[in-house]
Amino acid sequence: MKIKDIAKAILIWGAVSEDGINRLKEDKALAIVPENRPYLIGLKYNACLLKRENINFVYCTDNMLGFLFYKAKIRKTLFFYKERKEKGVVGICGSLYMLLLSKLHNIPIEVISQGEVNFRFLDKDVSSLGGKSFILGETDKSCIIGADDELVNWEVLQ
Amino acid sequence: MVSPLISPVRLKNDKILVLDETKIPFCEEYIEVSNLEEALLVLEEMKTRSLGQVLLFFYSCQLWAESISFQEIAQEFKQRRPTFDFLMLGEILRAETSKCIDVKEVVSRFVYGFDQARRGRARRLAGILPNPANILTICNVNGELIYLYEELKNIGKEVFFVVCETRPYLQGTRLTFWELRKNNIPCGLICDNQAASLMKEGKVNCVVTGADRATTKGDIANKIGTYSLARLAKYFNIPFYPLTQYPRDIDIESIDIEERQPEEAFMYLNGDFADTEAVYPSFDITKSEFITKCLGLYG
Repeated sequence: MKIKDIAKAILIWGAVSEDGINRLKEDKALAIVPENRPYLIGLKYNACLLKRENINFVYCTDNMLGFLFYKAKIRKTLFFYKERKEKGVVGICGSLYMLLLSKLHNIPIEVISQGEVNFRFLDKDVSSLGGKSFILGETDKSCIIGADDELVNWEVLQ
Repeated sequence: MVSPLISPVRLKNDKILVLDETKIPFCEEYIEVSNLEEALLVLEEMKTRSLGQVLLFFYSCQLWAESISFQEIAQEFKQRRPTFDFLMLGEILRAETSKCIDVKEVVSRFVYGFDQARRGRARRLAGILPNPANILTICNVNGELIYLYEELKNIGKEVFFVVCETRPYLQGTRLTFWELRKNNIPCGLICDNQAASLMKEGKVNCVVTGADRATTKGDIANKIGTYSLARLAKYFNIPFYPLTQYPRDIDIESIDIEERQPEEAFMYLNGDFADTEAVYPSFDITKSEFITKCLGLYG
């Protein structure tokens, strides 16, 4: 697919829930499925689920989202969170990145509780991709910055 | 301090040796290029990019521009990698050789001058960056971060690089993180999507990136993911410095943004993704309003 073929898409972030599937079906829009590093939830879970449910989607890497926003290809963001807290919501690694980009491009964000992820993560941080390491030495592995869940304050979501 | 990425493409007699960047960090292997068709193939297959593609173009012109003009070679290069301004490089060569200077001499001067200019730029940037400089970066700028590290240390500034892995080709992990670690330069590696979190936590205080294209208005086109970093940096009041060369008086929107084959979006992942629709814009655009200062080769 080419960028020009994408229009008024719905971005999904985090593990899609049944509620999310229903909303995507109602909307009948093209969904954008980023890969969700490091765990690859987008590729290993969301893409499979959407395929099974016959929902049209296009896959991309997380760093392509900014350009898709810039090109006005996204009209809504569905954010699947892990937990609600007093200060905000907790989402997977990269949630702040994606939500701030949505906010900075004035894209409405819908907050939905995440689905139950049913696959074993091969990657727990940036040191590997699909289980394969691209880091050579053990000392280099100590330079990895942990990919933790992120608390996103309510202000970002307003 | 050394990195093969500082000079990834070299002349050897009547052939060109191209560092196969897709094989780093697992091996440092050079591809022998014997004719223009082979040069175009290594370019198309991303065996080399950034500075490497510039050197490949110049050496191709030096070796094979007898039956074909510089501009025709530039057109061929542009067809393979449409975002980069090979036509401008062809124009530089044409202008210099029209002064009766031998093409070999022009290329030699360019290669030496370019490296000197990159060192000079690193010196200027080092003077601007904060102390300590906790620098977020993306993709790879062919050893210029090593120059920057040396210049920062020379003036007594502390340095830490945070490298975005740069999906899908992982140039951040495979090239930048590798060359920094090889030289024992303090650094950390993150998923591209961790950038906002680190900015919020104050763990980075400046952003330095390359720029494949630049305009005189101060807009740039660079590796996909650069725009996101610039937008987020602006939000967190963090300065953003792209390293630019040869800005043109054009509208940045007129630049062709290369879109690679969709299957390359799954680069380095095992599995059959043939029935999964994907998109892969290779570059993005960042307007000047999100840029603190462009660092050109000479100013």
